[in-house]
Amino acid sequence: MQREGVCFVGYGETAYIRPKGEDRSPLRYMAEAIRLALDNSGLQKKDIDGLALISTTHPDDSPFVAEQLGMELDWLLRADFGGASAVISARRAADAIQLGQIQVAVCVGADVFRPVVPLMRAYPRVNYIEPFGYGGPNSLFALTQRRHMAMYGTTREQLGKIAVSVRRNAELNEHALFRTPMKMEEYLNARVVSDPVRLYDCVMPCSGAAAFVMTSESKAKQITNNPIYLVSDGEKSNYRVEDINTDWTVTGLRGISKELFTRVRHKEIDFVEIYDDYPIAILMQLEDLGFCPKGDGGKFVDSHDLTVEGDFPVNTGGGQLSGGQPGFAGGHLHVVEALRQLKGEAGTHQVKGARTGLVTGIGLLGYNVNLCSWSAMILQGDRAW
Amino acid sequence: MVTEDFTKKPLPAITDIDREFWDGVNNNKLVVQKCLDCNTLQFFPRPVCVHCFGEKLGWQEVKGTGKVYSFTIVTVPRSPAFRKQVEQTGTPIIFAAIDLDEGIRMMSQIVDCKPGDVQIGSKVKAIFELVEGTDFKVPKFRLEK
Repeated sequence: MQREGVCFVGYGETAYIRPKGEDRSPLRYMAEAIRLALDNSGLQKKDIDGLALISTTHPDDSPFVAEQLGMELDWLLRADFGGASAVISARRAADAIQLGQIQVAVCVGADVFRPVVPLMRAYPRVNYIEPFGYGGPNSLFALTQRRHMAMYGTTREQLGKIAVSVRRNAELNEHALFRTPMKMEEYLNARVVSDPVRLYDCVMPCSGAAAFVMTSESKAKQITNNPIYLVSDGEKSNYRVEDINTDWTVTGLRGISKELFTRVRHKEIDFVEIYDDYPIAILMQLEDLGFCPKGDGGKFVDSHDLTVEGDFPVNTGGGQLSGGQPGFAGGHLHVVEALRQLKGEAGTHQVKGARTGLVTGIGLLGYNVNLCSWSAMILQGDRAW
Repeated sequence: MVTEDFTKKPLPAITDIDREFWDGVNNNKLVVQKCLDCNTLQFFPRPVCVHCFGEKLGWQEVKGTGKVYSFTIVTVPRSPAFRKQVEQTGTPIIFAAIDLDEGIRMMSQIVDCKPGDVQIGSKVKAIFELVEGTDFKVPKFRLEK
């Protein structure tokens, strides 16, 4: 849908880390990210009247989480859309702000990479995937990647260009977990995990949290001279699920790209933050967002420079592939990076002229569908950096 | 910390919804849900028909023949017991999505062949294999000659 009068005013994130010994509680990560987001926006804790959160490794009901954080709220949401939770939280918060239910919402994700509580697992996975020796999400994405390679001639070199380019972006980003340069040969010759997926196709789990603050346009203008507007947004759950033999190379973003690009055109997008558990996920999303025809993702990647210095910057902070995947806070990492760019605060990895950015969030591997949750939004500032 | 069991292969947690399927497998039959209202087949078994919400679901035996939709050669399985198997045998697991001839897709394992023998589109047929250390069978697939 198209939005009027809803803005982003701040963001915060913890370090993304893999502690060797005992880790902090996800709640502490969460509190730190919220505090940093408030500092960045110039707001105080008492200004928050809405909270959207996701933390699978702290599976308390959301009111108990808010109680422990000492937050009185008029609006509360536990997002359960996996990696799509950040964008979908932003949509729900925007609804509440537009309706006048709340003034200021914080959307936060926080997770640790070694769960302290065993998580409840889904019936289709337990009964119809795990007994057959799969390798977790790596194998499910491997099935899709092989299919895409076979149908469209997509090559590992093309996927490698994505991995190597986002690593280049991470080199410039002090928040990223992996900042050592990666050569194409290292990508191509990495250890096989679930062929054709190899080590550097896989996202690395870590601990961390990220948060962002949203408010009405009028309130935003009181506290900042650079509000970031939510222009358009959409989400799709279980795209074509009734089609029992659905094409796994197609993503749910195909179902929302038209409404996303009603007011902003593709060529106006200065950078994209694409949810990246695997390079193939980025490639398929670029196709279904309409940046190129279906199946031409490989050619598109070949013909563009994807680094922050390039003509089509992708995952300007290194994304999760090089930044680390803090559980389901991974989606929030992308939103925070987009806001950092649009506020002109990205320093050495600032995209020149960044004014309009696109963020996606995808999550929850399905059985009949490739992924259950797909979401995206376009953000725009008043000025280009 | 979640503890890992290296001895037991993962088994399904059978419910009233899918008992018929697993009973079939353990009698060397592949049976799938069929909606008695709209006659559509579906897999995996679930409480209602995905097309019409119909609750009257029967079961139909399928031939167990189909083609490989896609596959992956798993060198690092998620389950510790499968990981141990791969380490001990030096043979990775071939995990695949199979499109059955009746028009439904299921995920399973392809066995009794080398990874290099499998291709997208390869013809396969279901077999019923005991999970080691148990008297419980799961459906796997073999390449058809």
